[in-house]
Amino acid sequence: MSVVAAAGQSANPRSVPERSYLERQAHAARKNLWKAVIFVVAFCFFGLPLFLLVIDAFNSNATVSFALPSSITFSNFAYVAGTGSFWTAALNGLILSAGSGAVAIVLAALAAYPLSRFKFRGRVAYLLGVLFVTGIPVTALIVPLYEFFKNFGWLDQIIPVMLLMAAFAAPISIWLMKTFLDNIDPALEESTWVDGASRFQGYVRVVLPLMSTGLLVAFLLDFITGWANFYVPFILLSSQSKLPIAVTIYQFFGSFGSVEYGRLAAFAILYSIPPALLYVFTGGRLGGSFTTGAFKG
Amino acid sequence: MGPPMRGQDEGASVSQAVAERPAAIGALSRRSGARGRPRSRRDSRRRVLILVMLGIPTAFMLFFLGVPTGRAVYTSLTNYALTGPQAAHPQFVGLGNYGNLFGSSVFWQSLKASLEYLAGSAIVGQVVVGFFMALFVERLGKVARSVLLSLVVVAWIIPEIVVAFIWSGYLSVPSGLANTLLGFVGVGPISFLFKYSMPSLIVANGWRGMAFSILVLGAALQAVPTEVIESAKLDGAGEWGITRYIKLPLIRSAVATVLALTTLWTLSDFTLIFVLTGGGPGNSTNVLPVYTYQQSFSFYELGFGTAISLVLLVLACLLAYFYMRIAAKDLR
Repeated sequence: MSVVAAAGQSANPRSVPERSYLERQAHAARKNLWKAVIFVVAFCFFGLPLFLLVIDAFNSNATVSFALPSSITFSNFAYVAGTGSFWTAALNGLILSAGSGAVAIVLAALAAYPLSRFKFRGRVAYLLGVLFVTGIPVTALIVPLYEFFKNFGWLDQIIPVMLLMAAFAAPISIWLMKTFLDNIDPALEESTWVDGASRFQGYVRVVLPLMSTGLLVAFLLDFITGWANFYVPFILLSSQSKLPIAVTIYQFFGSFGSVEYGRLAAFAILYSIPPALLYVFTGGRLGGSFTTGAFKG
Repeated sequence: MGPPMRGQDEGASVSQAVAERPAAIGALSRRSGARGRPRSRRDSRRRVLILVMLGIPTAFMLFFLGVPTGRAVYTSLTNYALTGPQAAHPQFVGLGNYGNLFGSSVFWQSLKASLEYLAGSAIVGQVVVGFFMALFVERLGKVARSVLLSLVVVAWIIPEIVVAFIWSGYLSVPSGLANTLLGFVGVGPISFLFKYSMPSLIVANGWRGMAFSILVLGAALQAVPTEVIESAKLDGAGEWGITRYIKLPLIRSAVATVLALTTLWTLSDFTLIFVLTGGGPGNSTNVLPVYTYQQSFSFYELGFGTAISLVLLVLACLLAYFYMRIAAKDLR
């Protein structure tokens, strides 16, 4: 490729203007061809698996063998959404992910304030600790956690599992909230102190409403992570009535996966809709949040 | 308050305390004086506020994350098991679990699988390919870019277990979509998940995770000032030269962040591998998290499983440390 050949410091500075019109046209055409080829390859690589999922979901006879549906049907969706277990599992998933997100946000809102507004000894060390803990994966702690839950008699109980997920979500939430809070002018809350409100009151009444978007972004980040969490409930919960959708969809795959591929695909799409919608809802703002911290433990 | 009889004693101790106070106050005010602020009621209320607001979340995290980790160190030194006599009365076996672990060929296979997965999926598959994708996406027209990015982001935002189902269908033998397409050009069918199990996992995980590096590195590339690039072009730098010597150094910290995080996530990845290959065939994809699961919850050897977990935890801590160092650069 001439693009590469022309590169490097050795290239003659005047080589570009010296090219004839035709040469430049040919060069541009070659470049566009390459661009098109790479685009098609990338498009197929990312698109085909998704295409497969969608096609199967609308095919009533889908199997592991690929086939285009003879007719488009919603029966797979109707079947999955018509089962009571789907809604139980969705509700359990909602409790785990929204509950853990809410707890994590409250914890983060508490910790973020002193970390952002005060300079005290140990502050930087604490922030470093928070960053460090965002990197600790749950898979490395699942066995000790299983034992821990067993000792407390918490196995197969939704609320303790939800709190555990909140503990894993808290560090990144603290980091995000601290960053959001840093961008809010302290003068705004200081004006409330004059009226006799305490620092804490000023924070809750004035600052938190101002950073509601930030709170929402941090919450949605925790929600999406929690909604997708398969491993923790898979290990710590066992009653059918308590399992979240992440685990029941796995059971469905294990029992009927190769037989009822269409229903599995419909199930998977219904399960994927909430995080996808929330991502669109935040307008990709989540992407920016990820630069400063961990996501998807 | 003590009984009245001891009133005198108390008075004595109070006056003693009062006598000692000036020194204490002097010490304190010297300290706070260095910070240019006298110690006051507001100061101590501030301290209480910090202690309470930081204390609650810290206690919560220590309870759920710190205590189990501490116990894990102990458990790894016992023959604790889920069933049988060792379930009720685990015995202290010292470093026995670690001896068994390091003496087990499966452990070394597992470590090798984890490192292969890391190198292939995190470093090459997501960071290197992701970087070139970010460069490529930058050059696309508006429509082409949003079409491609939408697909990439959808692959990333859907839950991991769904990704596992998709790829298990996509790569299935003999007539999944991948093999159907290969059939058109007269190749295959190939039993990807059996013959090329690790490469398949690397590709599937790259498909799932590349959005993160493309988005973050893309954002960093956009922040590179155009004047710098223009002046480099005037100096005769080619495209590769600009990428290598100007863009890459300027987005170094974004690259480091992405590298640290994708490596961490890939090291601790369980779901995709568990569903697609279950660690097989023949332990070739039995990465540390899957090996931990297998020993702890399939063979019920919790002590041994904890020992593997701790090895995984040490590796994760090393990576988390690097991540912390990188992310803390803009911390003050």
